[in-house]
Amino acid sequence: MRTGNSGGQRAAAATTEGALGAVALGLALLPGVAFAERVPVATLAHGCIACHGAATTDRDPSIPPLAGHDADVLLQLLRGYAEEDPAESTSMHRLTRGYSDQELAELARHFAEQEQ
Amino acid sequence: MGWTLHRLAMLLAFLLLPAAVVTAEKPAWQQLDAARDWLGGEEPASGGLRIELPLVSEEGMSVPLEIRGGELGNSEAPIREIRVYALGNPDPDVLGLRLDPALGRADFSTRIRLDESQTVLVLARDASGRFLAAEQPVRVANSGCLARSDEPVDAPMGAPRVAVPDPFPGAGEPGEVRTLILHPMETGFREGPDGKPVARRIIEDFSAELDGETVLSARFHAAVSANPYLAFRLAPRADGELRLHWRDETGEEREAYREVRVGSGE
Amino acid sequence: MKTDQARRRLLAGLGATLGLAAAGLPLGGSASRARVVVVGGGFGGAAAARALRQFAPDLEVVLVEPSAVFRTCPFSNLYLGGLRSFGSLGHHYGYLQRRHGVRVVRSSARAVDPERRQVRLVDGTRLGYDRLILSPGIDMRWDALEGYDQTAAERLPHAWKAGPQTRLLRRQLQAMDDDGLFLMVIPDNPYRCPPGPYERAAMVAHYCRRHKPRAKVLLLDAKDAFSKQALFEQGWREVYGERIEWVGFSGDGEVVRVDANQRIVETAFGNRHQADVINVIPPQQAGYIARQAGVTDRSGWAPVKAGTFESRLVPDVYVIGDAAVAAPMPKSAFCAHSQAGVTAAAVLASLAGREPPEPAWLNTCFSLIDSDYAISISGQYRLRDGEIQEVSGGVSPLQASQEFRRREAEHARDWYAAMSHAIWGA
Repeated sequence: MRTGNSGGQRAAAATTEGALGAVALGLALLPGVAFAERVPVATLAHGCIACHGAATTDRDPSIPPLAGHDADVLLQLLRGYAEEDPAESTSMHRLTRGYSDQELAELARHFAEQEQ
Repeated sequence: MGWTLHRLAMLLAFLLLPAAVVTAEKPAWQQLDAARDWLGGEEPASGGLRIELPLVSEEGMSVPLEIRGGELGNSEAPIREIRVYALGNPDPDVLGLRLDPALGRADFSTRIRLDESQTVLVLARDASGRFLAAEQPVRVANSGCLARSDEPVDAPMGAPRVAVPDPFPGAGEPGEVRTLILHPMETGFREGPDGKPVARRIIEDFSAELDGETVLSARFHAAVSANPYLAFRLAPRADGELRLHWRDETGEEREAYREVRVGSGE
Repeated sequence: MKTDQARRRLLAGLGATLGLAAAGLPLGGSASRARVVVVGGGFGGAAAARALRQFAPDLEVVLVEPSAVFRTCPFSNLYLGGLRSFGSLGHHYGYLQRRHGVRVVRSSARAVDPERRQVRLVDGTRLGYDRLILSPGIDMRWDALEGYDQTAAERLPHAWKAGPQTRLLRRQLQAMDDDGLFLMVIPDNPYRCPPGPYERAAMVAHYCRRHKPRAKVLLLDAKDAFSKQALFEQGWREVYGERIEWVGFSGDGEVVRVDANQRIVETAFGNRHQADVINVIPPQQAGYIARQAGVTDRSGWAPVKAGTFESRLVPDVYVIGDAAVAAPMPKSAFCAHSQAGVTAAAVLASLAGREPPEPAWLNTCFSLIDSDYAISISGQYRLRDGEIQEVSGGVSPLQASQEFRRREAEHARDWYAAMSHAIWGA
């Protein structure tokens, strides 16, 4: 069955927040743990570009390119999709519910830093 | 000192061993009261009976199951009874079969419901009273892609479908008989759109008679998929008539007759 | 061999940190001298090659693909329906080579030697690898359906790999009588693109509405339920009336035998159907090289470790896309692309001797009912208790406005453009 688990993920994200610096430096969090506990933003962004594209185009697509937007504006949009299902939303609510708030923030920052 | 630490580490490792790892080593029949009751203290042998299921099922509502119990005609102790259990279902009973050697082979195909990833167990008892067992774990990874609609099925029992070889390959040579009947097989575990449980209604009994002699009788449980499908072998020695009969728990019945013709065996 | 050893020694050492911390990938520079070979230039393999070079610009990435032009299965149904040209389905590898520095070897992989870590190509060349990614897609199981072999497929096309078969099916559809019957044989799970047959039905009906107004489409299915079923059935009815008829397993839809010469199929309960055009989508298995490499099990598909898609059977070989057992993720182009990203990161971590990063996968499948009417399914997948699980997702609502369906059709076209541009740059 499909259930959103963003709440649980958010809690999990909070507990590992202190260790994020270590991960970014490429250090494992705990010896013997099979997976680093955080999804790299590169992996997350790879998912987005499947629809939104890796680069801006001269077309005017119905799925907007993500690069170069203001991080705060983007984050507000993403949070909006995650929290409720706006009438005009198609896939976004279904997908964003699965991210932690931390992950949404990282994605917003990641795309904001890319050149338009 | 090092020795003590080593001992401590060993002890910890043992204590921390997940329960699942321990139980996984136990054969499935030991884990189920219903199976142990039927075995009555006997330990089943592991050869002579095979089950085939997908390793991974993308749709737990309808998982193809095949049972291969070998020859009946030329065996000294042919299989007389088979029971199928799904250890992780709310009701582990799936299917019971009583076989006559006239079937020729103890080979069956059906489709069953598996609630979650679990082990499916098949037990068989042969004419000498000996038990056989076969089991296989199935991973059920229900894809949201394939989610069925929750619309209530209000269809009564439909017309049966039957396919028999025409002719059978030769006298005493087994051929496959396929049967299917439209029926919701409502488990009683499901909620309707109004949030209330949908009343249980399943087909309980199925039988096949060749010229008045029962050659197969089956007991279906709720884990048999909607529109129960059962394929079995039949090895008629002469031309005759096959009667198939279904009865659901409301007492409603359906039957079908098929002419049996035996080929020259060439 | 010498160079392989030298490379491996380099791998064992510690190099300077690549500029990847910013991307969040826990990598050491030791990965930079390694060679990763990717077999198969479809949505999985081409995307993996791109992602590897993007994440680790100094990594040597070799992509083995026999075709100069890759034709996508996604949108090949639109070609059948007359909504797209055949040419628009084709993509080249020049961009991957020029823009991303992927070395593209135009050849077929014939064998894998996991002991020596070599891939043997059809011309005998041996390619050494430190890590191997197989993205071979599917092969038909020619032994699975009585009467359906490669010769039969020339009369009853599967068109389940985009290319000559797709054109053949289109020609047969065009040549069909106005009151003809188009019959499709659909297999049980698992198979490539779960909603694909049902979108194809709509696209064939779309073509017939204009060109064969009295033609019918009959679907004989080995299953009792299919992807987005309620949405498809609603869409078919709304747009095409009674033109499309679906018969599931319980309605005697399972085809057990085909006669290519007579154009007749026979079902499990003995019904025989003759049709003017028969599209047989047979049972499938992982592509040849996966079976040859020993990464498949008796199911014919490749079991993989859930977090990385490394083979459970052969170390240092990763299998992504349709060939892998990734359930509950469907065998879709979108999933193959998503798996490519996760596995690229896992391969780099493995080369650097580090733990694989936590994975996250996405899927979205659009299906067109009409030129301005599409439905979709989306899901996000994570690792939970060591298994892939859907953590969020859903399908288009059953009650939706025309405008909503139109927007999804637009999204479908934009998705195709964005994804193929990201991978092939065209």
